[in-house]
Formats: sequence, C-alpha cells, structure tokens
Amino acid sequence: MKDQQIQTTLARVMMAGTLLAAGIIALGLIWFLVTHVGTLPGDRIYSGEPEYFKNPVTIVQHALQIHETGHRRSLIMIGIVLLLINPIVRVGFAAFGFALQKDRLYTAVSLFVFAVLLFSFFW
Amino acid sequence: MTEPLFDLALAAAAFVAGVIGALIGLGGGVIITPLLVLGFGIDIRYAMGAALASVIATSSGAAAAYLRDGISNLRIGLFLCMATTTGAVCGAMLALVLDQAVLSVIFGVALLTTVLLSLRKQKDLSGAAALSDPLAVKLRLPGVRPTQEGLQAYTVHGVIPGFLIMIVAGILSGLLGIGSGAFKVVAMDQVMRIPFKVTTATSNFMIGVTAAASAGIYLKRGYLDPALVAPVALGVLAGAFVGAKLLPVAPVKVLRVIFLTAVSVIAVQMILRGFPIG
Repeated sequence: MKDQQIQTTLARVMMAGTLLAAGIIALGLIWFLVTHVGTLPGDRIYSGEPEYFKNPVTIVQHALQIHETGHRRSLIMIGIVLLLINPIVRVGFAAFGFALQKDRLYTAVSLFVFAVLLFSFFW
Repeated sequence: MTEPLFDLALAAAAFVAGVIGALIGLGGGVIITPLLVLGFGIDIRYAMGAALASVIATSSGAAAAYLRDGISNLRIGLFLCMATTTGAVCGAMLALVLDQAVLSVIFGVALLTTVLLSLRKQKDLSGAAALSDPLAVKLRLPGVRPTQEGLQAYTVHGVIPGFLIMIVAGILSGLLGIGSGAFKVVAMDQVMRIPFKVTTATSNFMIGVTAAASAGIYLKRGYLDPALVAPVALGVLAGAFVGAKLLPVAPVKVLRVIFLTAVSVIAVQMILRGFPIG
C-alpha cells in the first residue's frame, strides 16, 4: 500500500465515522428533547462520574440495557463514544498501513500513539 | 430557561462559535468553553468536555479532506503525536486535581497567548535551506506536497525543539479541553519550518488524535455530559462547515480584528473569574 492509498482510505474512514457519530448524536438529542420538554437543564453543577462511564465498553453495555430513565442520554453517549474512537481507529489504521509497507520505524511510532490512546480510555 | 429552549440556545451559540472559529482560524474549543462558562453559567469541567468533543468532530472532518488531497504529512503527524498525546494525558490528569478558578485563569492566559500567536506576522520559513536537519532525514520526515507545478519536496528542521513544544501543546490540550492548534502550528511552521499548507493539514490530523488522548480521561470522570455535548458538538460541527464555505467570500481581515478583540476581552474575563471580588 502506497502512502497516498493509505491516506485516501483513511480519509474515507474518518469522514464516514464522523458523519455516523454526528447522526447518532443528532437522533439522541432529538429524542432527549421531545421527552424533556419543560424540564430544567442540569448542566450547571458538576455531578461527578457515573459508574458506567468507566470506559467505552461499559458505556455501550449500559446504553444497550433498557432503563426507565437515562437511555435517551445513552444513545447520545454511543454517538459520542463513536466520535471519540474515530482518532483511535485513525491511528490504528495508520499503524496497519505502515506495517504493510514494512516501515518498522513508523509502525512503532503509530503503535506508541495507539497505546497512549488506549491507556487514556482504559486505565 | 427550560428544555428544549436551553439546548436550542446552546446549539445556536455553538453554531456561531463554529462559524467564527472557521473564519478567523481558531478552533472551536477556545471559543466555545468561555461562551458556555460566561454566557450559560455551565461548570467549566462540562464546558471543557463539550468543547473537546467538538474539537474532535471538526478536526476529523477537516483532516479527512486534507488527507484525501495528499497535503498532510502522516509521518510528521504521527511522530509529533507521540509528544502531544503523552502531554495530553498528563494535562488531563492535572485538570482533575486543579481548582475550577485556577483552570479558569490558565484558560484565560492560554486564550490570550492564542490571540497573540494568530496576530503575529506569518513568515513562511520553508524552503530557506536546501537540506533538512540530519535527524529529520533519519526519521524520514521531509515529504512532498502537491503544488501547481506538480509535486514539490520540502525540508524539515528543528525536530527536537518542535517535539518539545508539542509536549506543551499536548499538556494545554488536556488541561483545558482545547485543540491547541495555534501552538501546534507555531511549532511546525516557525520552528520546524514546514510549509504553511502542510502545517495546517497535519495539525488538523493531530488535533483530533491529541484531543482523543484527553477525552478518555474526561469521559471517565464524567466531564462529557451527553445533554450538553450533543447540542454543542453538532452546533460547532455545522458552524465550522458553513464557516469554511463562507471563507472565500467573507471579509476575513475585518472579521479577524473584530473577533480577536472580542476573544481578548473574553480571555481577560476568564482570568478575572479566578479572582473573586471582595
């Protein structure tokens, strides 16, 4: 795979990922709004960390469970997680491309960045 | 203000911030956070989380376009991302222990610095030397870029100082929930003497990756409130898209002066928040 091919494929993956994430967030937001007419927004006071926000996996697990309340927010959370993992996929894909090129130095560089990102999400 | 009015107002404000950001060349992050804090009374931690998500959204969109056109230098981007992501993780952890007031002051100072950086006379230092620095060559950083006369090679310099500035840019990004694009651009075009277009394109690629490094930590600590992130990120994303379309026809010079002045005033207000009167 040539540099230019890596870049073009990467560009497609990134664009699709961003649009998909934005679409899910928009759906979740509309759902949230139609069911919250007249309520007060609760964004003014920091309420700490919900248990299930531990990492992307627990968020998606939580969102897939049916809850009396909160599942509308969870749909938005799935979109947000998708948005956040876009750069991780980007770096992972670059590592793969460099590995195919047998470019050891940049496979290692990409994997280092990939590891830092994974650490951030799963420590 | 109750729902859905509050969210619509947020989305509208974020949209305006996205348009302005695209027009004057500042990312959404540095504009949206003060707007949420000062204008909507939102906790700065939630504001930073929403800004960071917006930064990832806009940079992913823009970076995709640049990558497709072959302007970005993936090697330079990934190499420097080692510095920015490591810095961002440290910055985000630091943000967890710092007081809101302290964060507000640091934010204001970083915002003022960003304004000064974007006001400076931009000197294109690329092409001044015939040869790249030996370290840059060893790392295979120099690349080619598409120009009207076909592909043109460019040189890369100052690898170590550039890398060090990127660590600082990463720390700021994690600490404040911004893309810190202004700092990244300075490191690349002034210190490493990479051509402007390559710098802009590569920095867009890096901003998203850097922001993701902080995002994991923000996520875990509950800084990403879905009800806030959704209207803000969508607003900024749409605004940035419209802003980019307006760019060729808008009176950019006049707008820059007006908005950079406004941003400076906002920066001072953020600093003053750290010093309650009385």
